[in-house]
Amino acid sequence: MKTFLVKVQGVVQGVGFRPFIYNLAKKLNLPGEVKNTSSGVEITVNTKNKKEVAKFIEIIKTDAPLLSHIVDIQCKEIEFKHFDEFKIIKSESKNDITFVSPDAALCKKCENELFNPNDRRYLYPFINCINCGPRYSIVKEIPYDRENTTMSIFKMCKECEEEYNSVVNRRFHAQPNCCSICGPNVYTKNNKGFDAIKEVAKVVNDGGIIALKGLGGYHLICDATNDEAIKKLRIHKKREYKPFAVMIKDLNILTDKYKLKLSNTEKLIITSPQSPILIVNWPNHPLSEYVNPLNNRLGIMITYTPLHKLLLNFINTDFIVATSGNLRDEPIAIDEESAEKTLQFVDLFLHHNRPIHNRVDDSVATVINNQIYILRRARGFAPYPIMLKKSLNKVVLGVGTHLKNTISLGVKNYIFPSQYVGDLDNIKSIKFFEETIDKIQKLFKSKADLIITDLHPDYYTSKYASKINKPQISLQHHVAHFFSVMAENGIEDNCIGIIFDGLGLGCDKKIWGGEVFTFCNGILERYTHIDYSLQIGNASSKKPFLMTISYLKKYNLLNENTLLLKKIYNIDDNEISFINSLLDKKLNCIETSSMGRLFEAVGSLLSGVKENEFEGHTAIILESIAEQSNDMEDHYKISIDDTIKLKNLIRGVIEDLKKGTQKEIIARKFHNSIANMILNICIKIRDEKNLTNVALSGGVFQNIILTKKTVNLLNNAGFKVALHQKLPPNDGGISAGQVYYYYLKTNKKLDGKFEKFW
Amino acid sequence: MKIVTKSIGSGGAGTNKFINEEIVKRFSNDKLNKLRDASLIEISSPILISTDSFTIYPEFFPGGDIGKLSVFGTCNDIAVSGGIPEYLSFSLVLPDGYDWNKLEKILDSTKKAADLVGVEIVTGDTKVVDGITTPIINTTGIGKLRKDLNDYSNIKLGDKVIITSDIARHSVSILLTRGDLGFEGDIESDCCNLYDVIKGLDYDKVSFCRDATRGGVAAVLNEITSKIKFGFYLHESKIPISDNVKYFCEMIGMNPLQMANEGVAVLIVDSDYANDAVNIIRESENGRKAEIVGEVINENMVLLKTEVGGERVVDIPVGELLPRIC
Ligand SMILES: [Fe+3]
Ligand SMILES: [Mg+2]
Ligand SMILES: [Zn+2]
Ligand SMILES: [Zn+2]
Repeated sequence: MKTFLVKVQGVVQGVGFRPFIYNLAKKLNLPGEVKNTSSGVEITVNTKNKKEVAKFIEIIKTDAPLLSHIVDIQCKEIEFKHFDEFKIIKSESKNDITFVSPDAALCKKCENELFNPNDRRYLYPFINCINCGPRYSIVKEIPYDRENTTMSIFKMCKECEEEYNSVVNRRFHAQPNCCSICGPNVYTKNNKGFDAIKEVAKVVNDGGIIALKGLGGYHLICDATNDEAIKKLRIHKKREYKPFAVMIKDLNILTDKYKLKLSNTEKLIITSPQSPILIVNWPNHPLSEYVNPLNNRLGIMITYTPLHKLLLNFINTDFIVATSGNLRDEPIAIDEESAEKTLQFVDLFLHHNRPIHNRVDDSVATVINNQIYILRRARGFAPYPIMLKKSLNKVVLGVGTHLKNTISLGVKNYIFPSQYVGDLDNIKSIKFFEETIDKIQKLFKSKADLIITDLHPDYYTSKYASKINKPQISLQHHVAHFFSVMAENGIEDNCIGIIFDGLGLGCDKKIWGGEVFTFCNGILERYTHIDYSLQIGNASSKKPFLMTISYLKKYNLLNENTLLLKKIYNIDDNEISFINSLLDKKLNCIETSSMGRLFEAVGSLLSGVKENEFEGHTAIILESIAEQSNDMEDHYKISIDDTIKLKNLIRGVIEDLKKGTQKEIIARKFHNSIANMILNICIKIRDEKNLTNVALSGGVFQNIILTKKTVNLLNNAGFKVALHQKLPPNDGGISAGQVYYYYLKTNKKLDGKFEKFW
Repeated sequence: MKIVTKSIGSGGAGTNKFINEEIVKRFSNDKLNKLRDASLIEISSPILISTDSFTIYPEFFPGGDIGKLSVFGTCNDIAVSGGIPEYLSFSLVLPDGYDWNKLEKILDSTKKAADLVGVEIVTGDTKVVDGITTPIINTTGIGKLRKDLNDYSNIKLGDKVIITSDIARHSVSILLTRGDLGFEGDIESDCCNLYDVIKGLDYDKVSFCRDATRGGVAAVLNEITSKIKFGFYLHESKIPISDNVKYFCEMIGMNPLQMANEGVAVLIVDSDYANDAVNIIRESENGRKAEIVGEVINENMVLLKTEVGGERVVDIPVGELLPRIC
């Protein structure tokens, strides 16, 4: 007999890992013990020989509980110790970090019980087990024990408590364990429980709108095939174009009933415990055109709570709109009072009495290169950490940016990015931001020693940081984007960063957004960028046609094309000459290298849409137009010397437009041009600096056509491409990048002038 | 063309001639006319005193010029502090070679403005220098206090916020004249005498008053917010602004709440007096567009209920205006 110490690192707490080890050891007849430690789980086990322990570890890797996330397993032989049997022992950790699992979608076993008339939880909307149910949304403090969750107000009945205490039960230490006798329940103003669900289902069937309290907040729900219902919802949400997410009962609806072809990766993602909203391409879908008036893409998720499952069971249609329960620009409602106050237009509310502690939106994802690509990171992913190779020397708080805000807390070997917070123009979002900072520090029992902000002094995050009496570093926006994608790919040096984005303040006090960085032997440089053009304050971000005029003017194409502009935008000479003179006098103008502005301008030129309803609106239009044509190789030439010159590109688009070339072709050629330009720059850099890793980040890489094309070209040319998979390419990733920058700066060599010390 | 030369600021005969013919004759009153080293005035205490130097390019703009501005600017500071402007000093720094006709125009409008407010210009100075292209004027005003309207501690929860006229007009008018922007529709500066706008109010029911000059309404309210524990809740739909000013601001991406005015006061008044106050203000020539735009709230921030329904934070840019919309 020998004794081995097996250390498992990762998210292995609160996910049924110890009972899993216990049951496995029992099955294999191995005596020993298991306990939680600082960074995971420690197993001491007696086996006959090394081979036997290796087999034990193999099974751990393959059969680990659904919600666990193993980063590393290490095994070494230690001095022999005698054990009579296998035991779970109390953890002795003191100041150590304990992980909290993200919320998880209803598991298959629970789903079967939910619809089994003989089960004691038959049709009970809060059924859960160690493999599924609420986690992050209900945790107030660690350790993750029932009394530290919002379930503490419900006392388990005898039967539930027995399950909870039985090591062999699927509900052993499942903190939110409950049943209809002892747990939370749903209600409308008229009905309770099951009847309440039937009542709201009828409202939806009759074309009404309901607000339903779900897992991380309220959903606004209506029939996704009913034009009138959706139109009404659009009026109240003040959204004419922004796509709504839809929900379906299960995957078969798509694959069997509607014969929609999904890749294996897509199927895996949409049915995963994270159950994000998956963006899929579905031309001629059977839903109302008002669900997404922009293009053929639908954001679809599968019912991930028992409550949603039950609801869909009573709904006649296969598809419901399930969009966040908020007014435009506000965070989603999480409690009854604020929901009733802000969502007065709905026909009926379905509330429940399990409080939501952490607000979590639905996550949004798609697939690129056969891997998940996150566009909004919230439910199911927060607060999973990003692991670092070495420990941070301080607790570091990245406060992110002003729009699409997230925050990140760096503690020891981990960066914990928060869930999606939102745009900090709004007072409710600001409160949510400040609340999230408090809660995440409390949750991981760590107070920030250092704050990292964006260079932009008018971001609310910067103003917040200036109120806090702590050391601060301000980091350039696009450097933070670059570091976010390096962080999650574990890259510590030698990488090209292609950061294409809407807007961030640069170190030269100009607006950046079309940036190429090199990070080579510890030295970070802005290698090149898009040639500066003028943007008129915030107006150009809201009105992309102003940017169109600015580009035409810059490249001396304005005079010869005023007729074209007048036709496309339905504007008169006065307006053009007014904008022309604003640019001449540089009134409230600032130079920008933004790639986002370029996409918007071209999208606006091809569609005639002058104003963005939401961030990137006309850029999305451009992508939608391109999608209507087949992939091809045609592109416009973009010359690169000290900066990236857009003249040929702009002229090419205009000439094609005048020639009457199909817009679908122009849009496709435009995407190709940017991808080819990236390739050419990377080749140039490889020749000069021998760098072969390329990281892509920034809001522009939410564009799937561009990202796919770029990855393709780069891969074919022998580059290794680092893409986002855990963090979004948009500003939601910035906070993690801010922390990672500090990590590399203190743990490795890192030179470059992209920050400001206060 | 007759031009300004250094002789009128040198202290010699040229100066005497200028003072007598252009200043004393024009601004004539028994204190000034004595041409003492220091004018003797009588005033009941307590008094308010305020000073400001004016430099603006161009010095003539639709709705006013630097002369008018230099009188109203200083007198308005006294008025919104709760005083009645009575006396004014008037100091000119002129560019060498400046067009004499323009100077006379400025002096005429200074006189007109002073008469409108009812202040006497009782002392002054003239210098002529190189290196500037437009005049610089300094004025110091003295006024009798009616009631202190600049005491932050008077502001209480529930008080209403009144804006006395449509906003951002001065800023936009200056930008337009400066820029030759080919913008249709003339926009005049709102430069006016604010005492006339607020004088009819019952000052006991006014908690606070300030004119929304540089930084606009946003700067005033944020400044107050930094001094008290309350904040403000504004309704975008109530904020007076003319259509063409609004369009212009949208096209250049500027927030009208952050833009300068020269004839707009922000008043904080007892809530039950707000309707009466607005009606009184509207009777004055430059207060016809007055509106109750919001109220004092418990949150220590300036919030704006926007037309799309959200509640945005109204802040002031830290430095230069940098765009931040992605
Ligand atoms: Fe960004
Ligand atoms: Mg002053
Ligand atoms: Zn389950
Ligand atoms: Zn129970």
